[in-house]
Amino acid sequence: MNRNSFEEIVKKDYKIFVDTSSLMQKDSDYVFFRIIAPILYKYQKKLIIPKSVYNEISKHWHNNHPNIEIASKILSEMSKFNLIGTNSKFDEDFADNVILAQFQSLRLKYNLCLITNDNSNKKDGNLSQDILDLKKSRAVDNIKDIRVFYIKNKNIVEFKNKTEKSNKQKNKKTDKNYNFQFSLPKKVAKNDRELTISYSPKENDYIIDNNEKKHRLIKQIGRTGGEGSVYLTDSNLICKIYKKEKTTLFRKEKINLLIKHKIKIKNVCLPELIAYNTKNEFVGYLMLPAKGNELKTSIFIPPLLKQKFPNWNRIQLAKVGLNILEKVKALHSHNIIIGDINPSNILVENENNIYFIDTDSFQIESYPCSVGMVPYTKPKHHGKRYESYLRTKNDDMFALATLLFQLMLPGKLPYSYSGGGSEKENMRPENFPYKCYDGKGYNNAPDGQWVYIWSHLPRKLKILFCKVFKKDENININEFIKEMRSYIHQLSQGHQTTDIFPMTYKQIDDNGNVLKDEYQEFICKQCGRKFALTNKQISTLKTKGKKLPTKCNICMKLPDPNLKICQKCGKKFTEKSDNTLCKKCRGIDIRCQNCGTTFFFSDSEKEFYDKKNLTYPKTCKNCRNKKNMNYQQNNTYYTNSNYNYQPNNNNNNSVLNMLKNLFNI
Amino acid sequence: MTPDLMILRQEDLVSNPTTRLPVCLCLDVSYSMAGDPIRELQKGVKYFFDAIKSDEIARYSVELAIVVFQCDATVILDFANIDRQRIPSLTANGCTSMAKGVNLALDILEQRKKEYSSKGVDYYQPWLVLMSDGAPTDGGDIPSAVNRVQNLKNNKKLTLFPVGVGNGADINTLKKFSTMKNNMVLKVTSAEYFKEFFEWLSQSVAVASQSVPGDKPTLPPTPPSIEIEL
Repeated sequence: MNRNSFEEIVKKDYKIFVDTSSLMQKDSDYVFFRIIAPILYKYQKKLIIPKSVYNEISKHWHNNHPNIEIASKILSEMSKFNLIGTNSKFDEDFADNVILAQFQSLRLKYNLCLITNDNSNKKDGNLSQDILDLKKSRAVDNIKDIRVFYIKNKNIVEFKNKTEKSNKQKNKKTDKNYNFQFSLPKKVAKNDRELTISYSPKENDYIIDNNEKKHRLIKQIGRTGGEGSVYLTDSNLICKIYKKEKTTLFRKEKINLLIKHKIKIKNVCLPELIAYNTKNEFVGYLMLPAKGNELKTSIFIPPLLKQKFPNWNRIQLAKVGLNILEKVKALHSHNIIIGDINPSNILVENENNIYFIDTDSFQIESYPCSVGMVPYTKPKHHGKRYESYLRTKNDDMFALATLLFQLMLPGKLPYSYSGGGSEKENMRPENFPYKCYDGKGYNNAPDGQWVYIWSHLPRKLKILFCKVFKKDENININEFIKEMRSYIHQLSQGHQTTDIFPMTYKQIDDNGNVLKDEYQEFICKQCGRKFALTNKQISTLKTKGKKLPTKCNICMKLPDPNLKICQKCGKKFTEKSDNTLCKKCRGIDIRCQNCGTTFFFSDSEKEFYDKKNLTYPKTCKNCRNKKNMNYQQNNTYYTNSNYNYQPNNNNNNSVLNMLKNLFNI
Repeated sequence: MTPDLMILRQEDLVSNPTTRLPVCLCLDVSYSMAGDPIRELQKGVKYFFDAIKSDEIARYSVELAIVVFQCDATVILDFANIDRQRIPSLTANGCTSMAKGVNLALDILEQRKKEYSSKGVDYYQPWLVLMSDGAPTDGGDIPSAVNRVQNLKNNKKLTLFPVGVGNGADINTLKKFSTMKNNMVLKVTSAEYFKEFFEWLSQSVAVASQSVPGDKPTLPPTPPSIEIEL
């Protein structure tokens, strides 16, 4: 079937392009040699292989990609049989996005076909889908056709437009609201009002759902929050009952809308049923249970991250990120604005199961989300009351970017910087302390390993963060999804460090390739903790003839704990002891054996005597000097020297006079 | 402070990025607190520390210090990760230098804020809990200390809870220090209610440490045993 439709395409002279991914599948050789080649040969047609494919393949050679040999075998064999064309007209410098651009212009003249395996079927945002989307993007009459094929299990299969597929699914499911979109009004609904209810159900009370089924509230879960309490029911659902004063018209309307349109997204705990008390008054809603720990208490506090997910590395963190992104994307596809994206509203069971809770705060149509948190709110909205305006998907993206940043740098807010103040004050583009690709370096980056982590993130991901936090730009969720996917891929291929807290900056060799973290660990002389120096740092220090540091970064910035001020002379001194006096000011008193006066013998002098292996003095300085003088005098007599005289500092008049007489001065 | 503690203080800030709430207990341990009051106060403080430790978020966000004042004021426990702190035993003696105590407490809060800032850790504006059972003996220095507190309050940089202990507490002076609505003062009428006060305080701190910085948190209602002097 698929083979026939491919043959049809060859026959009709479609221009058939091939991208690298289709050449590198397990069964690519089989499909190209046994299926594609015979058909091409039959109709005397050729494949078009863009130059970039050759470039990419040679790049993969360096990386030892497992299936690279298949790709190069296909290319060499096919060209032997003249089945590969190098039509210069098409052979521009291609990259994936350029293929897209090329298709855009070529499609006006030719019927086109692309063989690619870039079609990760889950979502759109892959090349296959983008190529097919060209067909609907411009409704020009007399347009040529575009087809996409991929390699699957020893066969060539046509890639079908996802929307066509989901249309089919829609019909099958008879769920006409599958792709339902809420409206996105500009004006916020105002004047919410409290609904009068006679009572709020409590533990062991019954509530009745909108299908008139009874549920008993078995047990309250957690403390009563600001809005109400949450109970487990005998139907294994979770029921949120609002406090009386929080039971408002807007909440009721919002929940009605979500239930009416049967919005269902896996692990997003949306209202399933409306809860009424036995007097048929709206009191809350029922939802599916969520599992796991809040992001806030499982990933955003590093000691708890180690405790709760001890075996995690960056792959799991990135997967959590991707999961969150995909949920937000799904919600946005229904025009549901989350509003209050924050780490207490997302539960993590494991990297593949992430739950969104507190969904009744979502912004639906003109009903605002009345809560929020400063770090996840765009600075331009700071100071406004949350229920006074409608948020946009871009506002959600800002919150999401902040959350992803905190996932990548566990718990660290993007605008926390050294010298900063409160969360709100810090949130200005110029305060973003990390290095962006704008020729500037780190700017008052916070102390610790955060800069190391940042340096290890992939460039494209960092560019997205910089766009949001430093340039105040809006970004599309698909960009984030793409980069997060590619990060996961790079991590699993070993191209990026999987350490959550790397100990050094990312190291790049002269050719721009990322090096594995090669470093040596040292023990800090001061605090005894480990710190690391990269081999590169060590060798630069050595070649410069410098000593390696003995203290970690933290201790180096601290004042020396052994630095003291002498309580006697007031001078600074460094010593690992309890002494409060410097060694010049402390010592012992000795009684002079000669004149009987006591003199001070300091520790510093003692050290000198010890070093020279001398016996400690028994007489005071004066007596010693006198003795010296006498010795010198005697010496002069004996040698009878006329010219060796050095005047003594100690101006002793009698001696001087004696000398004067001696030399007849 | 020993050099080791100095390093720990910094290290905690570097490895835990959670927004911090510094809380300083400024306790009157003058002679009049001797006996039951000081014993109950000691228990209350221990209860407070344990309660903070058992709250997953507060534990990594709230930082505690204790200043005591008699004729002099002393920092008997400086800021650090709560897991590393041991509560020193309190002894009652001497006079009631309240102004000295408040000034010292403000000094160490200021110092800690500087450390947060230099390490790039966000923080909530600090809390000061001032507990006294008598009238200050350094009354001459009270107005300047009050001034300092009220200036900080006006700049939204401090929350001060004054707590009067027993019937001898100088409510008028405590009121001057209050940054609460209507210059509210909390009253622990008898030593046996210390525990309830600290229970309320730990809940309030937990709420505040999870609130939006800059917003006024809605604190839990005070227990019935704690009187409120308006």
